[in-house]
Amino acid sequence: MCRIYMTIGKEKNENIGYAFISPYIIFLLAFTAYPLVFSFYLIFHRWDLLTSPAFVGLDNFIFLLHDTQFWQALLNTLVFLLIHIPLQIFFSIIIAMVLAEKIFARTFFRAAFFLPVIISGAVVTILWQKLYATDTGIFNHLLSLIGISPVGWLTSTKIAMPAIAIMATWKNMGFYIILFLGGLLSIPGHLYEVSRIEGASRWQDFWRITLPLLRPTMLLVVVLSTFGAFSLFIEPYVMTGGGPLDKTMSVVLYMYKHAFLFQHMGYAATIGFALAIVILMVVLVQKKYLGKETEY
Amino acid sequence: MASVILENVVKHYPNNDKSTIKDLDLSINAGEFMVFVGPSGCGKSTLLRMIAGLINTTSGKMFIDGKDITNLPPKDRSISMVFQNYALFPHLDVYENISFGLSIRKTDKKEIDKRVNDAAELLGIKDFLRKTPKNLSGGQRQRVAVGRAIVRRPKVFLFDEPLSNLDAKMRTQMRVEISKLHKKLKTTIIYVTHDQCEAMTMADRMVVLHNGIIQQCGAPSEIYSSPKNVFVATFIGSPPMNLFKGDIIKKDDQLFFKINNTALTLPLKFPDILSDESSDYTLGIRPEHIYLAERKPNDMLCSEAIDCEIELAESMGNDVSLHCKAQGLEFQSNQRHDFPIKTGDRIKLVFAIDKLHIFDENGVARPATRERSDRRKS
Repeated sequence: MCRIYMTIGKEKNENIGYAFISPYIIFLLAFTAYPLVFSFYLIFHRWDLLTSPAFVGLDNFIFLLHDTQFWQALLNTLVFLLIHIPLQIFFSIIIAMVLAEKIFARTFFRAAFFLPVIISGAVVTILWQKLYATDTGIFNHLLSLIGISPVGWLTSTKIAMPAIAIMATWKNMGFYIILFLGGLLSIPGHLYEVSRIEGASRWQDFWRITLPLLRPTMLLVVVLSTFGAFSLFIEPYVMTGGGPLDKTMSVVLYMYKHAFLFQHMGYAATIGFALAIVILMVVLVQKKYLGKETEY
Repeated sequence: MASVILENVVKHYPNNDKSTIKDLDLSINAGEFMVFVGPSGCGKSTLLRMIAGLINTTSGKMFIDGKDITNLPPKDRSISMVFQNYALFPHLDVYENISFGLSIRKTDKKEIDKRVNDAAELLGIKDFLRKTPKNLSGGQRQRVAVGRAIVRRPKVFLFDEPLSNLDAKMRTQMRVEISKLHKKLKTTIIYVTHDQCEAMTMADRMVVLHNGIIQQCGAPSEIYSSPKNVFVATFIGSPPMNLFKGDIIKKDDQLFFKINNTALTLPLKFPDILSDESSDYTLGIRPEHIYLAERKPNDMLCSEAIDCEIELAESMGNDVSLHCKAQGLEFQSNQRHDFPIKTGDRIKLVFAIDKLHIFDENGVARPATRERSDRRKS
């Protein structure tokens, strides 16, 4: 009898469990799983949102391989990534190291550096657009004070992408500062005591202890910011529209244009698929070089 | 070999009313194995870290080999330290860990190689030189930490509870190894532990610390046999010394100790010093100095037999620790476990009068107890 009650109770508990997770499952199926499967289906089809999808085999792939604009967009994204990630890691580590020390108003500064992360991307982008404005922007005003002629921050083909990378670094840095701060605080303090006794300088501490022991955090930061960098969209969309001369056209912006401006849903899905493969390859390479386990 | 001298050393933290280390004087001889022992929070690790230079000294002076090191950075004090949790660099292999200090100081590579190999040979870790710490056992890790300490050939080794993270068997083994190492290297060692067994077995001399004050400093046997106060008497020794509150009374020109709330009176053997009747005294006797009445040593003055009930008999194989009760008193007695005994049995015990310790109302040992021991030593 008791066993029957227990069995019924167990089944009831299971049902309650399923009930609790069902909203998440429904949303996951509707907004992640279904679009994923559907986009895979679209790779082999031509679809303009109005008529039925038409099977085209590997046409989308073949077109992609010969699409110079796509390769330009990929190159632009890689340029962004190569500027943004080192900048982000460099400044995040430096600031995290300062914030790990017992400095004045440490909590305030920790919150202050995190603030840009929670501000809407569109708001930040519009704000920086104003700062970067060639005629009225504060950056050019400051440059003019030291006698440097105005820079076309968002209009120069050479400077526009680095300018966007700097802005994105400012926007996202807070999140990575927190990650590095966590990594720094998890390094046992007695290791630094040993190095003090053994006679290491602060600089030697950094190179011989801090940096090697931040390797797991570094991998996390590099992988996460690689994902972030490859999904570059809102910044060029709002600030430059992909210009000048497509020099800030990111892969995601290019995909968006094909999907929602030209209604090339099949081709946009193919771009997305290609981007996923590129990201996977880059992350695997990163993991190979950074993914060494460390146990304290 | 170098001596270590501490003069009026004080450590005071601004957010704390009381000083952690209070006006401490200590002289450690060159080549001596000195152990700081005390309960958690007594200040022993703080003191060690002050000697290491990891914590600043509020006031006072410290000398190593006659050189004032009070304000020197750790690297210039000619010390090396072994930490409780080994403090090995997880990303470096054993060789790199041991040679860390030497490579920081840009020592010649051949010299590094020689010293690391010598240390590894000495500590029996030659086969692990290319392994990382996570692939080593606790004992092996601690050997590596010791290797890192000795390879730089400092004047003083500091050990901060180095065996606390090891299991009991490994702790005993490492204890012997560190003692042997000291005999070989003959370097001054300051060793911190809360384990009195480590302190008793390893130390040339030991310092018992409590509340940042040296309670007693001396050879382990001296501290065990002549504790200066109640704290030392109960902290050193396992099981601890039995203590009974009571009064000293005079009867027929003989002094007796009357234990509170009982009819038990024990004759005292040092009437010349404890001449007055007085109250609020504490009598102490170690468990091994309470004998079975039928086995009392012939040459020893003992109390009359006390009828006791065994509340608990803890056998340790060779010995048995008896938790006894008599006239409302509870105390422990250690005996050889060569006779059958169990909880609830009744036995007759006698106290060795010559082994009694008397502490005054402040918990300080009466000179009688200490002088007696001094006489014995001389």
